[in-house]
Amino acid sequence: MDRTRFEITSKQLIFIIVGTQVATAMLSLPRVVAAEAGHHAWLAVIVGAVFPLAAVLLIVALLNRFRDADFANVSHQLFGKFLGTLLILVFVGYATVVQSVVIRMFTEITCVFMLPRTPIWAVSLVCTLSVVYAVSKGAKVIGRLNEFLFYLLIIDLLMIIGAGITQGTYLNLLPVGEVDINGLMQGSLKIVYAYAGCEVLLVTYAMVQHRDEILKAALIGEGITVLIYLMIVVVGLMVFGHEGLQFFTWPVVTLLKIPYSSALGRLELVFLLLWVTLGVRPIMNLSISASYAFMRAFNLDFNRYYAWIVLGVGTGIYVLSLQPDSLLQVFALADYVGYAFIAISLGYPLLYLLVSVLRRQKSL
Amino acid sequence: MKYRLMGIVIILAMSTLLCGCWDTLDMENLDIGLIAGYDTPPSGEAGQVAVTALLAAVVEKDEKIGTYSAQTVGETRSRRAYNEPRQYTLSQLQVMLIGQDLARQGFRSIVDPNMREPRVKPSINVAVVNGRAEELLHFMAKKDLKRVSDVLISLLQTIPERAFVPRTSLFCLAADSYAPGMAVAVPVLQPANNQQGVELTGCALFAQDRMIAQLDRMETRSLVLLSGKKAHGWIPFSLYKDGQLYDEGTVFVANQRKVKVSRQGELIVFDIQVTLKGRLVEHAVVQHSSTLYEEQHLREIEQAVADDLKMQMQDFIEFMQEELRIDAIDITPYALAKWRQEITPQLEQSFIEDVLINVDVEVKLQNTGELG
Repeated sequence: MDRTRFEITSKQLIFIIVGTQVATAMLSLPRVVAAEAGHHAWLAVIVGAVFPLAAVLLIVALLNRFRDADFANVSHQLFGKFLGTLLILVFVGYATVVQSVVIRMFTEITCVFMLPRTPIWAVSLVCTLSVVYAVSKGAKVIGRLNEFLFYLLIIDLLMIIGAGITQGTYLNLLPVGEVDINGLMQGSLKIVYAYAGCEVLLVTYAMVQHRDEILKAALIGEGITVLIYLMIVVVGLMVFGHEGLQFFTWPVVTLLKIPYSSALGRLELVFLLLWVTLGVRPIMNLSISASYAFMRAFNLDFNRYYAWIVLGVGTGIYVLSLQPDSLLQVFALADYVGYAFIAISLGYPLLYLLVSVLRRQKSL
Repeated sequence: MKYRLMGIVIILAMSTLLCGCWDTLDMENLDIGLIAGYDTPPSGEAGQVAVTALLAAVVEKDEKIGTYSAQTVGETRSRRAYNEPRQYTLSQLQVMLIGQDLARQGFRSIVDPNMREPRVKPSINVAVVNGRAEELLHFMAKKDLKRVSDVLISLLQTIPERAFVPRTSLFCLAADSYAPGMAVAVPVLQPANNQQGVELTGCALFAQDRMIAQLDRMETRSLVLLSGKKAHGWIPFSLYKDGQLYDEGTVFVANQRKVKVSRQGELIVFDIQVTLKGRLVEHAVVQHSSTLYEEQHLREIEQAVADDLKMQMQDFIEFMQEELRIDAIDITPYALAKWRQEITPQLEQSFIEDVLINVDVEVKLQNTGELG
């Protein structure tokens, strides 16, 4: 295999982690968190960040123990060929389901705001095809795409901040005291689905050129995600208040429809045009992780089979994305994805670490 | 080579599926709604709502007005579909007018379909019509059919730049009027007294979804100043000394508001500081000719304006607390920011009646222009 196609820099790792986490979930995030945590929703964003941070630390602690930190290799070393392959396939299945939920949510938003007459299958298909094409080019291309798209995300974020400052009031965030601990914890759990994505580190760890920079890069990536979510939730609260947020399915889009914009006319369309490219990032990143892990699990020849496996994963995502009957089902699935994320991102490294310690397989 | 071929196949497949194809519509096939007027149906007609749409001139030379009555807003759109050859689109809707009768009945039935529709911008301006929205649009069309939308869109969008009248968007109307214990102010339009165009007479207050009061221009000015809605406008003044008229004229000012909230035992006290900054536009000098050389005179004018406005604002606060019994000046959020859990249950039970509201006005004027 041409290894350079699957090499990324630690800087690109930062953008991959941010890109996998910050996408469709952010558009509904303020509503989902505020429903449980009220005007302390911003605090729930910080508390909820404990899960992905713990996941990153555990994954790095685990993979640092191996000279060849390839996820498939580690799985096989710790659990043997059969069980190791099974665990990898579970991860691939999880990644495929997460991608299908993301792509469906992406499709729903595109259809509601931009292409109301276009059938869901068509939008989903075009999106999947572009993802398959990008992923077939390898991790280096995906890393560069993530970096480029991150800068587009900044433009979108500036629009959100601008709308928040002009339309909102800090009074909706106060008082800081009077915390409802139960609501805060519920809110923290609800936000977990938005943090899904850091588990790609299980696979991308082996692709990074300088191992000593991985932890720093992963933590910076997580930090950026937390900061972005914090900002979005604060702006949502400032403009709508925690009760008002409950009236809007995607409050971040609605937020951009509120200011009068004489120059651009419809601010939300400018935002969405940029967002269309941002929305596919998690699908690309998870897709490459799933495809790569699958290839390595069966030790397949990358030159011969990689493109076909990518196409196979793409087909799986596409078919699954068409399964939910309604948007409500998609939101319900997103909740399950959040729980699955905890199981995979914390469960996998914990299990692997435990077995690794028990078998004393420190092969440095 | 294989990858290149695969890339070409994927690009070709994508190009045949370009999503825009499903959503393509020619401009000539669209009825573009610019202004929507909502009324109760005219007498003799069944239904609960009558929707009058002012459509942009796309193919025709002039704008077009059409009214449909039905049980719901959605049903009026359905009726339109049977009658009109083009597709009605709301993506360019700029102004929403609510007739007085419908405003009294409640606007829930018209806000829901518009807030739900992704193509309608929540930033569109809303106004209440003193009378029927349909009649106002026809009246304006008789005067100048080409400029109906221009006049209404600009008037409502730019009014706070030259008068103390609020600009209210669909979003504000929907969000603020449902906030417990709060009212939202919406500008009121009517045919001008000289019958040459339209004029703003003040504002209407909505609580929940119903109009609860109509305010004249002076009351509206007090409301705008007290609520801190950004505006500019001309304010006349009269300056008396020893019971004699000493000077009179006009100032042009912009407003700012600061609110402090504190407690005196159980009593919640709001201190509102209104600051007006601007310039002297004119003064009909009786005894003195120059404010340039005597700054004291400018300070006296400032004081006269401040005293006058303070009195009007105190009257408005009294009216709000005793008759309206609802917060129309957006001060409740300051109390909520300090005691949210304690106050929230009281909001439905006339919270605003039991608070003390103090107001202070400061005016800062500059003598600009070429005269001293």
